Amino acid sequence: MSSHIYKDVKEEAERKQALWPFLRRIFQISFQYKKWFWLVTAGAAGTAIADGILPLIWIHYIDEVITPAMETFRETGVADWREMYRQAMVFVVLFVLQAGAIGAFILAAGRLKENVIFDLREQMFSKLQHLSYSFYDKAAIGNLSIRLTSDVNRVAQVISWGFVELLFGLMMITVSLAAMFSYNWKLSLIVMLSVPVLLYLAIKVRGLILQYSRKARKAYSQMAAFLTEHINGLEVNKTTVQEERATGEFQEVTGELQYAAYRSSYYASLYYPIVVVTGSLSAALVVFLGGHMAIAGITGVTIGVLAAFFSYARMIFEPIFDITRFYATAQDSLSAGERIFNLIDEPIEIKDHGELQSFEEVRGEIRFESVDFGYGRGGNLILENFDLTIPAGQSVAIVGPTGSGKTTISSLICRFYEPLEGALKIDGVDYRERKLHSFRSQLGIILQTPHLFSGTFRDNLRYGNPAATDEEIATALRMIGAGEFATRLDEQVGEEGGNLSSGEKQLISFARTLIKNPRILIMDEATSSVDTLAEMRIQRGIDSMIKGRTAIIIAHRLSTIRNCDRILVIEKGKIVEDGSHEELLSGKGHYFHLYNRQVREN
Amino acid sequence: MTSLKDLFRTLDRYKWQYTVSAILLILSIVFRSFEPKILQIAIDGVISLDNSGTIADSSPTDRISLIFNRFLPVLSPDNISGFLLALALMYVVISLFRGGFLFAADVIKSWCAENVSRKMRDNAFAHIQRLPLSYFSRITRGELIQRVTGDIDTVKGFLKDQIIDIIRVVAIFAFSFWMMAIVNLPYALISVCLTPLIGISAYWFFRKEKAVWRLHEAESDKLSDMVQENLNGIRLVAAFANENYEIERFHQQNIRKRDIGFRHNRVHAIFWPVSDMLGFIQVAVSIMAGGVFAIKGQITVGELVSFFTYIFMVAWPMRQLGRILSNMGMAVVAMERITEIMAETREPEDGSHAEDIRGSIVFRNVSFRYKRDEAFALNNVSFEIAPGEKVAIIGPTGAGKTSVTRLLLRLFEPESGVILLDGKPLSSYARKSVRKKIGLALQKAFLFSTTIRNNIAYTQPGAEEERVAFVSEVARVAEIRDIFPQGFETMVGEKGVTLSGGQKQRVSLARTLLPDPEVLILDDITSAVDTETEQEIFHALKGELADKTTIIVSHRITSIQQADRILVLDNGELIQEGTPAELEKVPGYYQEIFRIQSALEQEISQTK
Repeated sequence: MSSHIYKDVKEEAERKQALWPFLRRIFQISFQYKKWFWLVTAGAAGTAIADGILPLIWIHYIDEVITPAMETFRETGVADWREMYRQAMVFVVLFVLQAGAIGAFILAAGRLKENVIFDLREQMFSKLQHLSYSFYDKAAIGNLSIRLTSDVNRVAQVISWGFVELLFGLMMITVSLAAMFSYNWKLSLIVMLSVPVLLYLAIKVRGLILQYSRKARKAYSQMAAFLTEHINGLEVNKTTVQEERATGEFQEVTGELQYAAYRSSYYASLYYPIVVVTGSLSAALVVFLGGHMAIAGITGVTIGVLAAFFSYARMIFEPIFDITRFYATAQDSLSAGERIFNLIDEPIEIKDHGELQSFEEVRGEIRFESVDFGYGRGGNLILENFDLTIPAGQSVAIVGPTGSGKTTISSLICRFYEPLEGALKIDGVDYRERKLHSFRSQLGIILQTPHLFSGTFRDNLRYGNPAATDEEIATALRMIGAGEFATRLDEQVGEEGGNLSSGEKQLISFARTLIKNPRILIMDEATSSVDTLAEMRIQRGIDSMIKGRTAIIIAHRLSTIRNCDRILVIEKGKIVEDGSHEELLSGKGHYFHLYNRQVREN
Repeated sequence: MTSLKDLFRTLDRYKWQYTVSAILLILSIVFRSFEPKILQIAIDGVISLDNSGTIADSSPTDRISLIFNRFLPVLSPDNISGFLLALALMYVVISLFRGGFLFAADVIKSWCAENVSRKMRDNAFAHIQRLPLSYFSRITRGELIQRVTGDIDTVKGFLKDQIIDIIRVVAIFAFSFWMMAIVNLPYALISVCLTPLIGISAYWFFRKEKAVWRLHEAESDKLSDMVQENLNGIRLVAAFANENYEIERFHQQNIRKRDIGFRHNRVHAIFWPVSDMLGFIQVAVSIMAGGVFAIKGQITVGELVSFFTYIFMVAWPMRQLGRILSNMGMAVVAMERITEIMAETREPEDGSHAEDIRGSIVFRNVSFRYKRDEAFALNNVSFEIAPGEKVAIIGPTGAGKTSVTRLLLRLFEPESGVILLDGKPLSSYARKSVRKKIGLALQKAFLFSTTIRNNIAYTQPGAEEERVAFVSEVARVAEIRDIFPQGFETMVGEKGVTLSGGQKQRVSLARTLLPDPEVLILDDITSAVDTETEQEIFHALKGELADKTTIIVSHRITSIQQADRILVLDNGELIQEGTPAELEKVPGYYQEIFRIQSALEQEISQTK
């Protein structure tokens, strides 16, 4: 139990420490928009000043305008209205300024917010495009997209509306205190008496609200995760008749959410009444002591002053409320901010180091020279001292059991990962000495699961070559035996190609790669998700694609492998057999057994 | 309008609590409007003592002040302290009431709102789980999730804050107006003279905000869809070296989203200052008018001071109308979207309980399609499967294989024809009962983000460990278990490790086998498993399947050859039927697959 409390205290302390760098960083971003930044400041400060000096003008109005005029009127039956006109002008000017200030901070805060969201999104998206595979191996896509959608909003809230509240609160307190003390320091001190009480209570209650709102948010994301999972896995619940149990479990989760959300609302409900009651204590003191002073005729305590202090006593406590709310908003968005900045600061592992030359059109010779590679530093090496030369224009199939290193080899060739030791040379040049983009743009990579983007067939087919004409597209489609798509170029493929079967999607992805006209072709289990007949159809496409190109093909379907110039059998990161289909079959080694097993029954 | 009614109907069970909360809130506002009165009495008292000839002039005449005066000691020069102390105490008491009622009102309405929203979520979840599968082709799952999360949040916000806001705005306006009216009606009327204008500007804001917000949400949605799709295909982006193209595309959308955000903000930046301006003008007019009334002796100075608070209270609520209306609009839309789901009919639960099933299956002239205007997924299909028989269903993509399995589980109902299970129409059995008897394992295996063990024992969390171990052995999950240090306790999915397609298929097969169903449907369950493991699985299944009716859907020869009999579907029609040996000899889908196979075999024998 005590360790539990200790953990809470420690967490709290860490949060406080992390808050400052986070605030500094988001303010730096917003400070780039100097115009809007200063306009927010001016607008919020102006509004607070206008609000704060209103009671002063009120003092003047009651004491200098109304009271004398009343007496003159009572005595003479006529009043001097000139003072009234002057006073009216003062109010009009003050109110016009105030409305202007309000307009200014709303406009500026909105601009700041949108601009900061825009900037953060641009930075994150661009970073996401350049991060390496090793990053995506660990990251959950759902978590990443939240950063670009709800997290940015939360953070931008802090430097826009949160900032306005903070400025307004601080300014309001300053102006009110200055105004009060300039009139009567004794009454001011009386009003101030309850400030420490309020501050103490405010911080206490704010802490409780934060504690439960954090719990509520956690419960909410659990609820959302549970819901998402059971809607996506609906077929499982249906076919295994688990609907009721799932519903019961969901109710437990919503129960927790309800409890935490209610507790947090409970404490939040406490907040405003506390402000009201503490304010009333101050106001009551003003009535009692101020009333005494006024009756005793102490100089400086007029009717107007009494009225003004009554107002101040009631309004000085709300800014404290605003300031602690800013603190809560900032605390609340701290973890969102950390997620965002962690992403922006994430180092890009694979990139151009310094100014490099570009690859001209490559011939396609690939050479591994004593390459060591493993995923994650200090982990096991998948490839150790690995050597391999693939001459330009050769097609190579890589076979071997799961986990033997096939995909590692192809990923290294694609430069999705780089060798830890040794070098990988293209046409005799270490590919790290050339621009990444100039290399990748000459690769044609077909992945195991074809991914299409929503849009038309044409959009997808031109993905690697935006300049391709319909004629070129049709030729490519015919070449891989999918000519029928040439008439459907304007059709939509649906969200992520949802209108197509996986076989059709894979055909499109073949055509897409062909249209790019790559020098080196890499296929990783490209036919495993399609049925046998579709595979045969694709096989023809593969045969025509690998002509005249260096091709690396990973497959477990032997029908795909047979047509390659050369076959490598990999086991535990070592090449155990290397030769043509016929050579390896007659060698009766691993390949022969693998082949046999797949063809033969039982 | 019906949605508005629906909105209020959600409160049904809590209407008393909610009414109490509303009454408490109104009481709190009543006490709030008493507060300025204290200052008024104090000031008039001070003034009366100041120039002691004029007490009668400034003593209050309105009802509220008279009531207050009854609680106060009579003010006289030797009783100043007593009078002021009583007044100050009275103020504290009023504030305590105001604060206390406010707190109670807030707590009660939060409690109602949290309860109602929880109930709504629970009901929506239970309802969605029981909707027929056909519904899910009409709506995306993302949208369903959005409705149960975001839309219910919006409704909760409405229950928690907006209804209360309406009451608050009306009550503050009414009571502060009343407080002025009982003192001086003409003055009270002057201080609300601009209210209609403020109301009109609020309505303008409501219209504008609604229109712009809709556009804003549309651009926002486009942006998040774009991010989602990009991230799902991020490896493709790298493979095509298209980073800059994607960044540019995103940049354009980001600009559109930002600009519509600017536009949305502009509406606010126009409305709020304008309505504040109107409010200020009204306040200024009231202050000046109050001065004139005071100078002419029609109101006291104390009353003028208390009016200063009231005119602010009366001028401000109206401008909240626009915001309240637009929030209400959102809540109505959200409610519509929730009601839409809840109005869908659930899968009926009628039908008899299936007792011991022997497992004979008959399809008699079964036709089926997913949508009325689509082609038939199954067209007049008839076949019989004897108890214990192993049948493979093969055919190209879209042939209707999966439709057969879905009809068997009563996930969909045939349009015409009849399906018999053990000689009785399938439709006479309760759906749940059918699904308990027939186990289905799918190619696209879905696992929950919990441990491997919990996934396997999903249908029976209390299953004996021996049973779990046994089905894991049959489905070859043991090998997956050994990869991870935590074994079966390894978390999978979002919060844990990502399993490959083949590994998922094996875990899901174990899950299907666990409750020992009478009939087993294996829908392409080994497509992502390597050939060797596939054979091991089928070998192990032999014992488990011995007397079970089994339907194997596959396009892999190794799987198909496990069957006693093969049904070939194409384009929704049954075109061939026979044992593997028979079909080898007849031209068709099976023969074609078989030919590829034998070509390979021939090659091997030549090598030998």
